[in-house]
Amino acid sequence: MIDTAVSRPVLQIEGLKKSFGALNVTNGVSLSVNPGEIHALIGPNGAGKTTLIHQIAGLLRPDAGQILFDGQDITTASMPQRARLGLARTFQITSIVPSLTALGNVALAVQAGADKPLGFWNPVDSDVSLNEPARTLLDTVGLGARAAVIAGQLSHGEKRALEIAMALALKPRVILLDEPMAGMGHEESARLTDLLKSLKGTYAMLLVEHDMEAVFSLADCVSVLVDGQVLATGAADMVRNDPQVRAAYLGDEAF
Amino acid sequence: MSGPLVLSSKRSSFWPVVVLCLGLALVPVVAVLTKQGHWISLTTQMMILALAALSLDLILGIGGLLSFGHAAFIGLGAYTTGILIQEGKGDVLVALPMSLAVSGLFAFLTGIIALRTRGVVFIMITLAFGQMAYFAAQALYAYGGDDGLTLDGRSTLFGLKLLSNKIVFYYLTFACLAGCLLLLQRLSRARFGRVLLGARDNAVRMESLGYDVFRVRLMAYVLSGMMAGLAGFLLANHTEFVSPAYAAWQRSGDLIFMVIIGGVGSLWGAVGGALTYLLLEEGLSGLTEHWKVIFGPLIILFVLLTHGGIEGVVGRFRDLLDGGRHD
Repeated sequence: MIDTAVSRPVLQIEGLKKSFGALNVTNGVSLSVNPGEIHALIGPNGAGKTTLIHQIAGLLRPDAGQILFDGQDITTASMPQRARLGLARTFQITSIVPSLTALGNVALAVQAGADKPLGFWNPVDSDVSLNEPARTLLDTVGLGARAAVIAGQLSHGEKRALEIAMALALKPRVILLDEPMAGMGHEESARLTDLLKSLKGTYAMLLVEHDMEAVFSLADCVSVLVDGQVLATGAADMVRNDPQVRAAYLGDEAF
Repeated sequence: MSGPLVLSSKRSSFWPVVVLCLGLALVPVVAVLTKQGHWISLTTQMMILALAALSLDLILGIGGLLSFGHAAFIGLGAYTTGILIQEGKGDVLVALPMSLAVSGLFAFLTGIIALRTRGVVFIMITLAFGQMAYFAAQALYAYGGDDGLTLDGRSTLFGLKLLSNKIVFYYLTFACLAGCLLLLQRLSRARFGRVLLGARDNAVRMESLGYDVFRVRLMAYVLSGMMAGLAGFLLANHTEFVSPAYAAWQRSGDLIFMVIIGGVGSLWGAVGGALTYLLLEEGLSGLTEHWKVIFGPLIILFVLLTHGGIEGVVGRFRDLLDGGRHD
């Protein structure tokens, strides 16, 4: 038997279906993400991208189909179980703990993977084993100087970066990024693109994004989702030039 | 070296806690010196309810779960103790662990159901469970039913009637309150408390980080229920009487008010809030028989004007002393 572990996808979705009433939001989606690769998921608004991310992360249960994480079936696993396996995510609508500081948010994410995530006695403020890795991660995403700021008071772009630091704190194998650049200025999104580029290779990522510049400079593989179905999947250039895709979604102004 | 992680912990709770504890520790001394012996008993009662309010603040303030049936745990602790005393098994070594176990078990069983809901449904379901305990107490005909049950005496300790001495009992209650306050202060700043607080602000985020939010909330709920059960144990011994009224929803409402007056989530504020609430009640009810007409609006005004209860007022005052830093 040949060892296929090297090339085996770390995340694999097979025939996923989800409908809300008569609306088939996810209609037989199959795709896979290989280790260290960025797989971008693009498509018009309402194509079902976020619903798909929710199902992969465990926030929604699919009606049919299978989700495999590293070969293991996680279709019915809970959200915390998936996170502990190494599936991290960011949210389309910024999701942080607003009353904690930036450092506190990341420390809380570090704590989730610590030996004793629920200690009763020792204060976390002075817990070096949480705060040191958290500081390093804040530096990584460029928020080092903002560590002591209450997260709710960070700018939009900073909150997005904070989310990524929190995802990285889980030491994940796969990161689901739901429109990380949404609402960002050009400069901010260029900085985030650089950050993601530097993380590529270390983490596998499924990236939902409308910023085509970012998508085509980052993605190894692009899938186009339209009306809950994958219209095309392939290398970025191939998808970019697919006439069907151009007609359905991209439009000429994207090029 | 690391900055503050939580907004509310910007202000240390060290001094308020020290002032509260010192003040309470000195009450019997002053009462004896000024020959106002009834202060001791009155303050004991206030501290017992402050302990219950403190336990509520763990799940309400830090957990963000508005339980409207918290008095049930007081009732369960009180009835367990009362019944054991009547049955001749009222020693502290039996009655105390049993009271904690019964209230903790009730919290566990009701929490498993209630914590699957949120918002208004959670309020209603905890209210319903609370009323269940209330009506169950009413139905205990062998132990007084509606009228409640007058106890033969207080719990003994190793067969000794130590708790019958009101100064001993005062300091026992004080130790329970101070101990629980210290425990919750630590807990709220420790890893567990941080997760509970994170779930209050953003439960989905906490789950996506890998935390089992339900389990964490259940643990807090059981701990909180047991602490209120401890208050029930003390209350039964203090009044030498148990009554279904201990578990009534009005009492649950009182506890919520105490926490709000003190400043939700500040813990020591819940203790201060309870003392303020009960002192006001005591003072006003001595003035006129229609004291509730004054009490109600006064509470509403207090909440509206203080922005954050006692904790908020004290905090702003301390900021002012710190040199009027305005941001």
